[in-house]
Amino acid sequence: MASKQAQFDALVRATSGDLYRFGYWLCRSAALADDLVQETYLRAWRSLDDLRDTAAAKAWLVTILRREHARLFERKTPALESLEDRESPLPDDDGAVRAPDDESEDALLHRAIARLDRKYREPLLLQVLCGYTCEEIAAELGSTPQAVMTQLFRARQKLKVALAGDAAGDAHGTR
Amino acid sequence: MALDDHNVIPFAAPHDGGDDPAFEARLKRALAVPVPAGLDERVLLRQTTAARREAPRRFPGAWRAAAALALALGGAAFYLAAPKPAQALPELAVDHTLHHEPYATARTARVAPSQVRALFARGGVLLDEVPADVHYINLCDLGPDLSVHFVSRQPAGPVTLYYVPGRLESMRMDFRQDGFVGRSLPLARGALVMLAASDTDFDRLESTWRAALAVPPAG
Repeated sequence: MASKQAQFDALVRATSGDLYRFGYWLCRSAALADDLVQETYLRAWRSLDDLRDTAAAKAWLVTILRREHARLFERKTPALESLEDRESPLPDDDGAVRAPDDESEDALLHRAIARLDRKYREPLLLQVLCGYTCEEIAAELGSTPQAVMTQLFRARQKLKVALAGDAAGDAHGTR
Repeated sequence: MALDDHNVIPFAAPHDGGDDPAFEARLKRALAVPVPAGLDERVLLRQTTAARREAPRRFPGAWRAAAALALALGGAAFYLAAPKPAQALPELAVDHTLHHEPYATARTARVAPSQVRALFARGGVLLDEVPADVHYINLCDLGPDLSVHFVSRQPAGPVTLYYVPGRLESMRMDFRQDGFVGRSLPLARGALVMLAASDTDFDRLESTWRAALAVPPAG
């Protein structure tokens, strides 16, 4: 048991940062992401003996997290989806508004990412945050590599368009 | 023809759009949101708590056979399981520190007071005031007892502490074992053990935690 616990401890410390960030962008809520990550690791602990290839641990955890998110999302009302239409900064579950300190370019991009439809946001997260290839993303999402590539292309295009629109709004003083 | 995401964009080679290094760098930066402090500790706390609850109780096999034999002969069993001799708290603390969580003293970030209070509460202990210098905290088994294992970084070096609620120690004792200097003492309704390279900060930490520990909730 001691070695299993030590293995699990090391797994948590090596992967929790990326897993949290993936969960954060999936839920678009820091509090929900925190809970989601904890549930994920709890399930991972119970199934740790099933993990044969430690090199695939992160991908294994991402799969568990996505399933947990689906389970949690089924219980929660889809109010978060309405955030895509909101102009104001992204609020957290408790209602506290996490406004960026200033309207930096990163803050604009942060908002644009949060507003991406999940079908574009998720492949982008898997690629950029988790380092998945298109083939790996397709396998995870039950899609095809070509469709994934299209979604990634469109995700980036949408973000660039959103940033250009924000920049234009700033230039014309409409914000 | 309406495009959907399962059609390749006509007249264009499949492409994910990630050919703008400046944009990709911005994207990575924007996605790298800060991770909440203490996330690892909270994950491990939840996991170890759940693992403890889910662990099956075991009786020594020899005693189970003895009980079955006694019943089969129609005699009364004297006992179902003999209690293990109580192992000294200092020994348990040193063993746990050396072999189970050797990385605990390496952390430099402080644990938020709310998390310290929450973890003590899970151990059945209410804290009036939360001392600020906790850099690691976890619920751990010390033999048969649940303990709050925490580390306080002091100028003379890290001090490992274990508070064991409900463990009645009659003696206050200073000891040395396996390279550690230690102190074990009764405190509130439990016992406190401190381990470090030197006892420089023991008196102050003892006073601090004596003030911080409140009577556990009834029930």
